[in-house]
Parts: sequence; C-alpha cells; structure tokens
Amino acid sequence: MSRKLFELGFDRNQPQTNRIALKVDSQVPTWMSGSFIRNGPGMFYVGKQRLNHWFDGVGMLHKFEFDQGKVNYESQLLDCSAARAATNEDRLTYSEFATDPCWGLFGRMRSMFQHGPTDSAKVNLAKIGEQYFALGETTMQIEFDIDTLESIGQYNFNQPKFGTSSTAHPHIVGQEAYNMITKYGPVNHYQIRKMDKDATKCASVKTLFPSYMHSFGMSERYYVIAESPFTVQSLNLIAANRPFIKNFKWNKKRGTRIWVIDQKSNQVVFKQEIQPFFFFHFVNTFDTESGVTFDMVTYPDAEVIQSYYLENLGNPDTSIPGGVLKRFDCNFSAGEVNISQLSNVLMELPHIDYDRYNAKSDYRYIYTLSLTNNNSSFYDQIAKIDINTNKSIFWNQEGCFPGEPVFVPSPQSKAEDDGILVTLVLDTTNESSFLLLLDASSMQEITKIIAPDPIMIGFHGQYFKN
Amino acid sequence: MKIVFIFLFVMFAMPDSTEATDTGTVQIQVDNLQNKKGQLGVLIFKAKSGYPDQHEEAYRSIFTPINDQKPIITIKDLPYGDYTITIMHDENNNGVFDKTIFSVPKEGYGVSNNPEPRTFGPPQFEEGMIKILNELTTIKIKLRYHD
Repeated sequence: MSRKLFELGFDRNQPQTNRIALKVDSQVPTWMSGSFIRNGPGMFYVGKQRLNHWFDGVGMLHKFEFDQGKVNYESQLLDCSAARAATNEDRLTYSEFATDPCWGLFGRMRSMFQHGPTDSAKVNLAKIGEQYFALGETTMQIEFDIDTLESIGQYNFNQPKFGTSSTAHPHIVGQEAYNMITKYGPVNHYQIRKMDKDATKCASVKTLFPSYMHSFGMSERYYVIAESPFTVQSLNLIAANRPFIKNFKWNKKRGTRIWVIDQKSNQVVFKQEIQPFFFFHFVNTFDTESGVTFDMVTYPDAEVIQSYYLENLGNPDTSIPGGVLKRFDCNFSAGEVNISQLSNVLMELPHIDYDRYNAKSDYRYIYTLSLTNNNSSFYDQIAKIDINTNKSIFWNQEGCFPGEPVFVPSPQSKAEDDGILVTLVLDTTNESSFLLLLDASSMQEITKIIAPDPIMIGFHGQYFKN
Repeated sequence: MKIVFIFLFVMFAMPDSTEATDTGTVQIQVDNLQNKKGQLGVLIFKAKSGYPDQHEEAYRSIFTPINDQKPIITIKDLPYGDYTITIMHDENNNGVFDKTIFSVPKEGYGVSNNPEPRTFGPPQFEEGMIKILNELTTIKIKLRYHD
C-alpha cells in the first residue's frame, strides 16, 4: 500500500481525543439519536516494540454521538489490563494475536501463566441486555460505559484465560447472547455458550485439531460451526515459542467441516466435510424446509491472514486478497451440501440489517467493504450487494479507505434498505478522517463529518440507539 | 387499428425474457463407481479458470453422500448456458481431491461428455462442455480410477 496509507492507517499510535463537537451541515438526519462506535487497534508501538499484525494493536474505541443533528466525537484506549501494562510499563506484557512480549522462552512461559493472552477486546461491539461490550477473540470481553467509554468490568466464560478462545461475533437473541468458544487441550472442544452469569453451556463438539474461529452461524433452530483446515495442534500453543496465530497451519489434505447442531436437543443433526476454504465471517444463517442455509465470505486458503502482517501491508507492491460471497445449502435428508457463489464482488467485513434480518431467509442486501480491483492494496470502496439480482452499487473516492459500513434503519423504515449507512473513512489525500453517511438505498452521499484527527484503520463498528 | 391490436397481443403473449425461467435441471448418472465409500463432489464450471478441481473457481459445487452403486445427482436451477462438470469420488470423505506428488489422481474422477484423459493431464475444458437449454438435461459421467 502507499506509504501515506500505511503511516496514517497502521504504523503509529493514535492520540486519544476528549469529547468534542464536530462541524456538521444541515444534512445530518435529526432522527439519528444514538452512538456509532468503532472498535479497532489504537497502538502499534509499545515501548520500543512494534507489533506485527493488524489484529495485534492495543484496542481503541471511537464514538460519534448523534443528537438532533449535532455530532460529538471522542476516542479512548479500551481500558483493560493489556492497555494499562502497555501505557504504564511501556512494554508488551500480554500475548497478542501475532506478537508476543520480547522475552525468551521461559519469559514467555512466565508471561502466559502470569498474564495470559491479551484482554484488549478490540474487534467488535455488542449490546447485550442493557450492557455494552467490547469484544475480542480471547475469553475476556470488556464491558464499558457507553457515555464515558470507560471500562466497567470484564466478562469471561468461566474458563481459564489460557487455553480458551472465543469468536468476536456472538449472536444476540432478545436479551441474550450466544457465543462459541474453543477449548484447547488433550481433547479439544467447540462449545456454544450463553453469555450469561454462568456462561451456560448449550452445545459441544469435539475436534482433534481445532481451527481458527472468528464467527459461527445461528439460525432460529440451529447453530452452525464451520471448521476450516487452518488448524493447530493444541500442544503447540503451550510448547512452541510462537505467537498464537503462528501455530496454525493450512492443512492441504483436508476440507472444511460443517457441524449443524439442533438448539432444542443440542445434538449434531448434520455433519459433513466439504471443499477446503477459509473464512472470517458468516453473513447470515437461516432455516429452510430441507435444513439450513448459511452465507459466508470465503477464501481459497488462509493467506489473507499473512497479508495483514504490517510488514506486508507496508510493502508498496502488495495487494490483499478479497473474499468471495458463497451460499451453502445443507439438505439434511439428502446429506448434501450445495455451494454457489452469490456475487463477484471481492469483499470483507460484511454487514446486514442484523436486528431485522438475521436468521431471515428473505434478507436481500449486504453492505460490505470491497476492493476496486484485484490489485487494490487495501479495502478502498463500499459495496451494497443485492443477492436477489446479483447487482451491486458502490461508493468510492480517490485516496479514501472506508471502514465497515453499518446500517441504521430510518424510524419508519419498511423497505430493507430504507436507512443510512455509517462508515468511518480514512482520507489519505487530505490526511484526515471523516464519518460518511450514505443513503443505503441509493448509496448516494448524504454528508461527511470531518474528525479532528486521521483515524487508524479499524475493524467492526455498531450503532447503538439511545 | 388492427395492426396495433395484433402488436399489443404479441407483446403481451411473449414470455418476459427477464423472468427467472431460463434455468434447467441436470440429472447426472454416475457410472463405474468402484465402491460406495465416502462422498461425491461435483464441480460445475462456466469458465476454464479453475477447471478441473479448483472449487473456489467453480460456479457451483455439491457434496453428496453415496447411497447407490449408480448414483444419480440432481442439480437444480442451473441457468441455461454452457458448462463443464467434473466429479470426484471423495473416498476418504476429506473434501479434497487427493493426488500423488506427481498430480496423479488418487481418487476416482470424471468429466461431462466422458472425454479421454490426455497423457499428462485431464481432458480439455472444452471437451467436457455441455449445453443446458432445456428444463431437464440427463447425462452420464463415467468415473476413472488410476490404480
């Protein structure tokens, strides 16, 4: 990617910003009353150590608060043990996704057992009941105060910090949330658990070599677990002197395993090993007459993780692979999985109107980051994909790199795309960032709201209504 | 007036070419299956890219269990057009078309139209191309095994 994009988007630490009113025009909808919060890395330099990977940075929350046409902005490092250690001790003391503290083997062992993996929950956000959480891939999720962004406490899955990971994408059903954790050990398990006080176990399947998991599927009747061949020998997580993700290898000799678990009986009702592919995100999962269908953004292998190393991102000649949207129809009685491609758009960080259309078979629109071409060095446009017609509409601007688009329905919204897309865009031409509001129906710009500083490239965002 | 009436009648009587009716079903009878172990993987290619076994390039793919010595695989809603279809007999159920280090298939495979394999490699993409132009198309694909 260009040097400017790398320097502004990744290769630095982001200053925190106290609450500030942003300059807006009259186009900001007055009905928007709530907060758009974006999670992501805010620190790639800890002491003298530069972290290795996009998924490593110490987490930071950026909040844009909408109130009757006015917009306030503030940002804050996610207050957690890892961030406190990084800022107070000026060194990395927790193991990140692809970076370990600069200690020798015994230091690393000490680090793992004294400190464990990072609790910097920098990936996603969720409102569960009346609580707001920053979510990561370890078992420690951080509850925060939506007014101040200050941490309230830590939720974990009543599991040891070491030897367990979770997805960053729980499913919200009413006031409850369900997530999948992976327990590593002599026998490895994927477990679906409620994110309640006791982390109630709902279902469990065993696996010999667990895979890296970022999300799982949940329809009204079933949980869906997809295990790509990007797997680990769990002993290596302890014994090998490598950061977490470097223990995972692409196994060319096997495919991707699908488990479908009935939510009532908690029994596996369908299991099959199909063609190998890698993925981060389930887009949607819904029941059908013959079984269950799920849509995913897929890759032929796990090279995309390699492409996110800062060393690769900083290379002006490299491009990143785009994911492909595929549909998997599981027919239980026939024992068959039918796979089809839903769009030609190269994409990542897909978003739907989750509240209204998750687990619904009639959902039609996916809003996603996308690549303008195969040589794009990073996600440089937003796409709206109509999966019924396979037609797409795009927003892009020279030198601009948007973040995940988040759909906010209009108050009287009836059509699925009647609402606004909110996304945070890094503008390398003007060395700034702006919050972009798009008409979700037409993808036409409504307004841009300039942030006080350029904001580093992050992951998921959510809009929380007041 | 009469001409206008006929024109309008013809207009409304003609099928709308934009309706999603131009799809057909393909029934594949799989011949020469050596055993009923594992599953069958079917890859449907619209273009040469990825043929014969790169699933990520396939237009559609299906993984189905083997319930019969002469299984019939049904593929529905395939838009009218030209396709080359490959089948692998995934005997060990690993979702992968296993080959030796010299790229010789370890598992049975077949291509639509049943073209002869070349000395070093699979049949040409074009040799396996079939046309889907009817509501129902029935084909046979014979599996080959390199023992």
